Amino acid sequence: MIKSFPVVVFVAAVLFWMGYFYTIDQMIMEGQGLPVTWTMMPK
Amino acid sequence: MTHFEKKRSGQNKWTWFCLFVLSVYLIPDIAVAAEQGVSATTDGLAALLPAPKPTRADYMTVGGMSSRTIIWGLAQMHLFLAAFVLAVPFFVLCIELTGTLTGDKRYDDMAYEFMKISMAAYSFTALVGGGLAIALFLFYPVLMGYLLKVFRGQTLIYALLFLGESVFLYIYFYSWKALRYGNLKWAHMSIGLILNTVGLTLMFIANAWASFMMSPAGVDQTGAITGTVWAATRNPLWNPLNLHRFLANIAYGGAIVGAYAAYRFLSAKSAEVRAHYDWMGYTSNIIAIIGFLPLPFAGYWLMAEIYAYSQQMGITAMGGVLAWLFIIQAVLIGTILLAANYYLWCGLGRSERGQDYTPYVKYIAIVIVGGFLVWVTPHSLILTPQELQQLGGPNHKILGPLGIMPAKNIAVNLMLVFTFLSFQMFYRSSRVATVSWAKQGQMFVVGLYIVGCLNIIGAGVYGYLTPTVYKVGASVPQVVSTLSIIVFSGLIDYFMFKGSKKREVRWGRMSTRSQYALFVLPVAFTWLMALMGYIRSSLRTNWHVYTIMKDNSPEAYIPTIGQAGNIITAITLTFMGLILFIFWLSQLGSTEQIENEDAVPAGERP
Repeated sequence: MIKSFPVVVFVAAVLFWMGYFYTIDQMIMEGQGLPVTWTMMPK
Repeated sequence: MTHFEKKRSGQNKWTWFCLFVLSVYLIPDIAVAAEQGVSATTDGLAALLPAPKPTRADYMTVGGMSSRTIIWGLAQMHLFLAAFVLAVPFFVLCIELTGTLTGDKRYDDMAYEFMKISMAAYSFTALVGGGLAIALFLFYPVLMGYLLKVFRGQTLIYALLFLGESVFLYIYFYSWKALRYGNLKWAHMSIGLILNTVGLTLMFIANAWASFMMSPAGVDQTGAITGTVWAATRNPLWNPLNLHRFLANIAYGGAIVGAYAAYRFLSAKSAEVRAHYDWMGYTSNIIAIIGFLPLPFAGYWLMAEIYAYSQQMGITAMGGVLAWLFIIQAVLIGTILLAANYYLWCGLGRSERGQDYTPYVKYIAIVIVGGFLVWVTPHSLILTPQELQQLGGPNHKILGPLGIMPAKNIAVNLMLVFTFLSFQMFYRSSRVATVSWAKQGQMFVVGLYIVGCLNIIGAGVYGYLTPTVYKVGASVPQVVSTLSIIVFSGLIDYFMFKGSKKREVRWGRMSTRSQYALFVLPVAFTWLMALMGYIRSSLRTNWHVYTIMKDNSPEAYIPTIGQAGNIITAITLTFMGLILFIFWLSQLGSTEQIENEDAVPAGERP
């Protein structure tokens, strides 16, 4: 349990940063007037 | 004084300092507002006249010499020197503030030594600047007359600011030891702040003139003055150029003082002196990297604004003959990044803990060398008909896709991220985190690097799958990803290593070879600046002021790449010679002859 703790934190960190980068990518593309779908492909 | 009074006194100092900062930064606005008032009343019939059309007879030649080459050389030399003398007081003030806040006297001594080098260069800057002004009025009088009409009283403000720069520079330098402790130190830093404000304003004004020639504003299609001086100043390329030059100056200034530190390190005779100059070289390298990391993004903004202003101008830069120079630019930037990283890797040997990070160096090297190779891959090759036939077209089947921007954007961003990683490894090599959440923090940093790099690669690949407008748009998330990695991992490290156990850093324990990396930086930077200066200037093609005033001189053409290469190299070598002279002067200033030197045996001389 204790040994696996860093792995859990690592997975949480990866998920957190994936959410962060996905959100900023969406916001930046939309902000430039380039509408995208949830898969990031052009609308 | 009670603890409360001491605290209050400290707060008062900060309040005064902040108020002072605010008031000083209002000065340029006041100057511009005053100038606007002047221009509004001095417009008259002259304002309605179109820009003059110089004839061949309006261009003077002296002794058959090339007027353009003389101006080119002087302008480039002035820019090198000005970039250096404007940048040094900026980071010197930051180092001085760090020294005051931390109470570490070493920072103050180092800042003073940086200023000493800058002082030796200052008189050359003024001399070359004066020479440039005379040469411009001699060889291009009609153009200069027109620019004076457009910018009117601003030219006088420039002259006054130049005087102010000299006055505050001398006061700042010569009062260093007289205003060293307590409140007087804050007064000294305030002088430094005024000096930097004046210096930056000077640069912004000069940038307005240069950018006006590329993207004129405040005038109509014939060149007749229709707007205020502020309208001409705030032309479309002014701010991108301001930001680009500001960052480049810091990187350039850091690289030059780094070479000075390396020069003194190599000539040092005692371990103590070597340790001092090793620390100075390390700090200089960090300054150069801090200035350099955001520089490609500022360059990207400048180029985007050039395209937005005139697509023709953008195509001349990136799609015509000048495009090949961007490959040379890539080689030089790659050289800078390799040298800066190599120096940081050598620095890992300064502490015992640094050895733990050494195995990772090879992976960073693979990314940087790989990125460098992608960046220098051209899209279209210059080929003979036979080669063209053998290849089956102008593009290589496998390497061709690496020649376009999505691949290069991935390469550049990863190179910057991994350069920051090299710095982060060195930062960590002398510290052991003691906070309870160190392991979790480390996981967050590793996760940030992995996801951030994948996002950079993904956004690049995305460019191959989508229309051009999306391809260009995807470069912005790449930039933000790079900056996010740098900022967030830097912040996590800051809090994670706050109050950490320090490990000894043996300053001076550096190889001789590592110091040559510090010499590479200013040489590559100087060459790069000269090259990019040639490109920026060539974008105007056969115009003095783009689309407004034609260049009718015998040299109204873009010089060939070979000719430009020779001139750029000659200017770079001349500047390097001058810098060596400045280093020698600075060293001479701190050398003292011993009385009855002949009586002291050679071995016992210091």
